[in-house]
Amino acid sequence: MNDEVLVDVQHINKRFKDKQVLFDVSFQIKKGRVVGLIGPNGAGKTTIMKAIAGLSDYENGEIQINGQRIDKNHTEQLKKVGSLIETPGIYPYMNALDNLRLYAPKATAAELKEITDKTAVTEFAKRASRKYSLGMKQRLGVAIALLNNPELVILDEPLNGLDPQTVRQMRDLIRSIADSGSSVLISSHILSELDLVADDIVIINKGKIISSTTRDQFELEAASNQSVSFEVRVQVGLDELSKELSANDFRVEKNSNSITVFLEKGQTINTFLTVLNKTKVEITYLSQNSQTLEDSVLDLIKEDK
Amino acid sequence: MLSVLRQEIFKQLHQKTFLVFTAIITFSPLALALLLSIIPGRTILDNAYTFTSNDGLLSPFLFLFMLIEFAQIITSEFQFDTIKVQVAKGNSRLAIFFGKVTTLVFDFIVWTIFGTLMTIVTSFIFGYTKHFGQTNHSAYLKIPKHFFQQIIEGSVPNFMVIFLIGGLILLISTLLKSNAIAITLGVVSWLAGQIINGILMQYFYESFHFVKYNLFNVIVYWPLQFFDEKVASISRLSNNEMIITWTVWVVLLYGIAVISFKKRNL
Repeated sequence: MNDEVLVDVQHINKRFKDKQVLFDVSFQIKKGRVVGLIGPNGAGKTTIMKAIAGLSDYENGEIQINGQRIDKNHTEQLKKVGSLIETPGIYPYMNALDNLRLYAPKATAAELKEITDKTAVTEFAKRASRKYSLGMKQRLGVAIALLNNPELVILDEPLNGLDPQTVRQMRDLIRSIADSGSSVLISSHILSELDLVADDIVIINKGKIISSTTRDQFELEAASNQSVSFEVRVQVGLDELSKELSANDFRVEKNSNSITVFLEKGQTINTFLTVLNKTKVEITYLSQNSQTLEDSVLDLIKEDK
Repeated sequence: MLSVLRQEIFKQLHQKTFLVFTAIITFSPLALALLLSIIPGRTILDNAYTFTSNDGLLSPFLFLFMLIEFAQIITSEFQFDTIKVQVAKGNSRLAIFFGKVTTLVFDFIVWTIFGTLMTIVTSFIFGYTKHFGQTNHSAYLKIPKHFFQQIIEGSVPNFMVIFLIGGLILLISTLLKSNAIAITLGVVSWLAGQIINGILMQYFYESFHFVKYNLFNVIVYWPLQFFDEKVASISRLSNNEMIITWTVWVVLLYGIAVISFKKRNL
């Protein structure tokens, strides 16, 4: 893992008239990492992305890319940044290729083809962009962000309007960007997709960062802080099993032909399995209800309230 | 700055409106001359008079198209959300703004050259040049002897007036997202400006002499005063005062527009 910091967001605040929308926000983006910026609507994700992209100002603190300040008046480092924030910025009177050529005059036809292939734009690259669907615009927006080999790619909800096949293609693309050494800051409401692609997770709620860590560490912390549950199915003896588990202080929820057992803090899987053995009831099905990234994030946001 | 300028020119050349406007400006002198030639009962002298008194249609179209360009050049970036891409690609807002103003100068020069050349060519084709300096007796007015020189020199006050009203439109457009509204406001402010200037000069000048420095006074009278200094008695500004007033207003309008553009959150 590359520990070199590309983007350093340090203690920034932001206010829209009387309403403060960012509170002492700090986090880092390391080189070659995909950082998922997660939070409910209105949490401040886009505001942070806009500040990093030099689109809006911020109060106090500082944002640095490669150790140099970024704001509306310090834009030099932005030449190494590609971004798609909110809606894709496309000139409707030009086709996709011309929209790309506009920002990359020195790019060869082969280089442009590589980008349009990666982003699945090639098939409509010569059609006037005023006729594009949301998904096509979105793909072109990502292609524009990838021009000139940026060190940082900022993608705000890039999966909006994409069909499942393109979502998968986009996920592979994001992974390949990071593998080539660039960093990606991505936000998406499709947390299952972020779960598959993000190396690091930054969770924001009501303008405050409530967690900033690697995804592995986040999952570990989430697992240790939250209860684990198992689904147990049996042919006969469901009542007997339920009583036995309750007698051993396990929280049990009884369903029609199964029970869900919750292991609270301090209760180990070993104890749970020992109780199961002791009852002599024949288990036909046992599975752990795994916590998804979405569950963990929602729990964390709920706790923050 | 150069890359911004290159991008602006690239966009201009891909815009149908720019190409259509260029075609209209280029071919309107020819169209006017053809139209005049098929109206029965008109002599070449009559046609030469109508043609030259309307500058071969160059000035009105140039003025209209430039106003539209001023109104849409910034607002369209907000409308298409492309301003975010431009800024996020590391272009400074100052460079973007002056790139756009330079593009407008480019538009003006291209259209003036095309329109002027076509006006000259059309004058020769339809035989108007033979009548330069003659008087049209039905209108009791003289066709300028040096019409070509006049139309070339006229591009100077045209430029000054267009870029003055354009500064106002640019300032308005930095606050808006829709180019249609910016165009409407620009045309309305130009029309209203003529009325405002009339009222100011007619009713307030005697008590408040400074009203003569209002920008609409320059816009309305400078193109006339440029060729005829006697107009100074109506504008109440000498030629030097005109130029100084123009400069102050241009610095003020473009300065505020730059500040507004730089401050705007995207």
